[in-house]
Amino acid sequence: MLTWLKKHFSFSKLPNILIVLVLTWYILSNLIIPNLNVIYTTFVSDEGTLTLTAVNKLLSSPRAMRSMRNSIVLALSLAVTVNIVGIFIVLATEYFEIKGSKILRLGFMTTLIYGGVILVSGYKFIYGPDGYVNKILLSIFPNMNVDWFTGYWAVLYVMTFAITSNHMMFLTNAIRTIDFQTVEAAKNMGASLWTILRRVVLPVLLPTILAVTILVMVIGLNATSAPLIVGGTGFQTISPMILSFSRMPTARDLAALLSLFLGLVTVILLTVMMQIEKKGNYISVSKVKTKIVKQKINNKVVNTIIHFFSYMLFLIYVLPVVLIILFSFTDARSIATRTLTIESFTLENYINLFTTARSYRPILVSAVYSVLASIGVVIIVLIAVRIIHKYKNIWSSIMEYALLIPWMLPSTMIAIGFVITYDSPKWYMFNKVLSGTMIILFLAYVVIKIPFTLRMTKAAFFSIDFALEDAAKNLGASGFYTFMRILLPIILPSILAVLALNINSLLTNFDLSIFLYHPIYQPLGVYIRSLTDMQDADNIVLTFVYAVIVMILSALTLFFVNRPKGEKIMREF
Amino acid sequence: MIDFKEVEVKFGDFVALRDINIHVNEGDFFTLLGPSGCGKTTTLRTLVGFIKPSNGRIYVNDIDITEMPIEKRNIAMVFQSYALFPTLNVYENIAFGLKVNKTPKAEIKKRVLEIAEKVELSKDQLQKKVSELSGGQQQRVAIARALILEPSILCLDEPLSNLDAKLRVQLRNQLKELQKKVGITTIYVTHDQEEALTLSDQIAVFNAGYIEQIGTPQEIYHQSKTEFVCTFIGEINYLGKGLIQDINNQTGTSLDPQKNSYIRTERISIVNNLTNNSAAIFDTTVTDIEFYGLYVKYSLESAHVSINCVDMESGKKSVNIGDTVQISIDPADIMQY
Repeated sequence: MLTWLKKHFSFSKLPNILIVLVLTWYILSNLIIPNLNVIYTTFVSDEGTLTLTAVNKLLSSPRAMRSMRNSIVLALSLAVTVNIVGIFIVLATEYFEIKGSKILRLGFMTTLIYGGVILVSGYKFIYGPDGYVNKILLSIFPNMNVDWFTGYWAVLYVMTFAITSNHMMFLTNAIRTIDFQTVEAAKNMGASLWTILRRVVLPVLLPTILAVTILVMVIGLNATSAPLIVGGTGFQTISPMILSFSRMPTARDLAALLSLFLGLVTVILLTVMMQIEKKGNYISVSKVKTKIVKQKINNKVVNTIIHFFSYMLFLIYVLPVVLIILFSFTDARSIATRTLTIESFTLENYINLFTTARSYRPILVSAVYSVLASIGVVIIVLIAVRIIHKYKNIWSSIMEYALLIPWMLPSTMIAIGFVITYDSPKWYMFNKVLSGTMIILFLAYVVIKIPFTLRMTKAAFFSIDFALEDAAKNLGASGFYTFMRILLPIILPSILAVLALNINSLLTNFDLSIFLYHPIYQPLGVYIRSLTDMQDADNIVLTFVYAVIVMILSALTLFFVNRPKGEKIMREF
Repeated sequence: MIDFKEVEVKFGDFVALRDINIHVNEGDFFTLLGPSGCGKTTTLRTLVGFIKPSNGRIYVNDIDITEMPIEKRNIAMVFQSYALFPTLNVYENIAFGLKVNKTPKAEIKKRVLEIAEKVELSKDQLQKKVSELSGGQQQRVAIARALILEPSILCLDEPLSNLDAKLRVQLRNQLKELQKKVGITTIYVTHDQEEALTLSDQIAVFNAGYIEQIGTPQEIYHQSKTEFVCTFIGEINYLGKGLIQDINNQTGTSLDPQKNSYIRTERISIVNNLTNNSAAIFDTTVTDIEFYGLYVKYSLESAHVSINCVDMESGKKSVNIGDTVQISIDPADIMQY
């Protein structure tokens, strides 16, 4: 033993050993134990015996069973509706020659800069009881029920348009990589526009469509904000159900079981997606790839129909954004009456936001959480990637897989894991109770951002010429000096882009925050959600001002990462 | 100066180098030559210290450096990709090693300017980003960065492989001049036989982790010790058993027809005026002519012969496809294994 130690141990290795130990502790206490605890809580009783009580409770709870059924129905329905809309808008902007396609693309891309709880609030403003649509409908049908925008159809409608952003990102990229010479070859052999689309273009896109469909189903299963805000009592899905169960001490095992169910289904779906990604990508064999040229629809009737639907969809996408921006500059009276006059425009709302503590506090809280968590995750991931890069062995592989766990699990399960694990002192968390503290949300934010940050940072790290490190070593530089002076500056643009994307997405996080937020320090997503419950004009206008600020920040972030150096990040994102 | 003694390198069960014995004299330009995956870069990296040998020892000036850390070996390396640090400018790249050693700033500046002059980099170029330099300039930065630490040995890992053909020849000459000027012992890795033959004082030809032959370029070319070296270096013709028997019959030599026989293309000549009485003469038909500018390559065939030969281009086209020409083969030029 002593000989082995003498051979393998030197004091110069001590910092490295400490770093590995800290990282191991972090992975165990934040990524593995909380999630295992969900399984433990579900199937092990307080006395330590195996139990199926939670399963029995679930089977005998009509609400819980209904929420599971609803989630599955929603996921399957979204797989159909999102694909119809998503494929249509991508073809309209990228494949067919449609007049004004650049403007259409901008409209269809609006969901990239606003989503989640803000988007749902926007839709509620337009389609809700006092909304614009009802105003028009009431003039035609004065006796109609204004509360129609609720339940399954409302959730399906909102989510269909909200998550076509995946199509706009992934399918657009896929269609742009199609070798146009294959289209020309088919044309040369006499194939019609529709035959080419059906037999040449769509088959190449199929793996991406399938992968995006699974992503859509995962999002549908885990839906939180849409069912909470427009689902009403008639259409509640699993996540809101877990939220309400987790707040009842006697039903926490049920919350754990439901989150476990969500986790399992998500893992299965994402595994299928990875298989599709692995097997199904068509690699062009073309020597000289040609950029796709937009196809003109020669049939006038079809052309008109496609133009009509493109602009109809454009309106659906753009209307909430335009109204949110316009009404964010109007007074409460305009909001209440849904009328716009020149006199009603004011900057008062924005001035109030930045001068009233009640209004700016949620932004401040979210900003602090997002920035700190994003920096935290970058530090953890940089250390991890350095280890993965330097030591290619079974342990570094295990570490990498462990860090990717949150990618496979829904936020809800991660939140439940934290809630049930750290509501009592644990020696591996220095006997501190984290539930109800500010730190628990920070830790959870870090956890959910690890997989994306890891994938991006690893890609950046592994694209560095290996010889650079050898060269620095050959010139006498230590590992730390090489890392700080050579490697880190090279990957810094990618790291900054990832940092910006992480901050941006955490700023309005809702799914995780709703489980773990500190009541005094409400983050923005949770606060906006609470405003939507009380639909008075002041609350609505505040929501819109928040929405505009978030949209500006998101647009700036996308612009920043979409520059040449950030393109790769965007593709992965 | 450098001695490899029975060096062996294993990666798991795979033996990358076996029984490597090399002696390099001080100031020599020593080339490790061989096809891809033969172990030449592994040998270089073992000398620099990136790879530890599983067996054997390495000595520099009779000091055992086998276990010595990289930074203490005083061996500089120029990488295939040059490995210039993209976030540092040319000056910072060259000064990197001195900065790591905590050399005073004034001293760093003095030495950077000195070495830049030696490798012909201007002051303006020192302030540029490395990405703004041409391939040749980048190579000079890499060499300057390596030389500034005044190493006892300079290792170069295929430094010309990323360049176009013309620049490669130009930089090859500059490299040789620089090496002579600095007088540093240089170990050079390449798979390009022309580079090896033109640059080296000594060449070690590698094959599958083993050294087939070490010798001067002339020895390697004209007295190839193994069939591998013979066929790897230069353009070669395989001579069939029937042809060897014909040569024996014509010239009275006793070459063994059972052995594999080879002759270099330039050692076969189309006969205009027969001067060498000891050579065998064959009638062949010209089946193809390839024009290379400096020389012409002929593909020739007859009953026992399917052979290539080269002739200097004279500018007068005297031989056409389909012509019958006589060729002479001197048995002394035949290499048998």
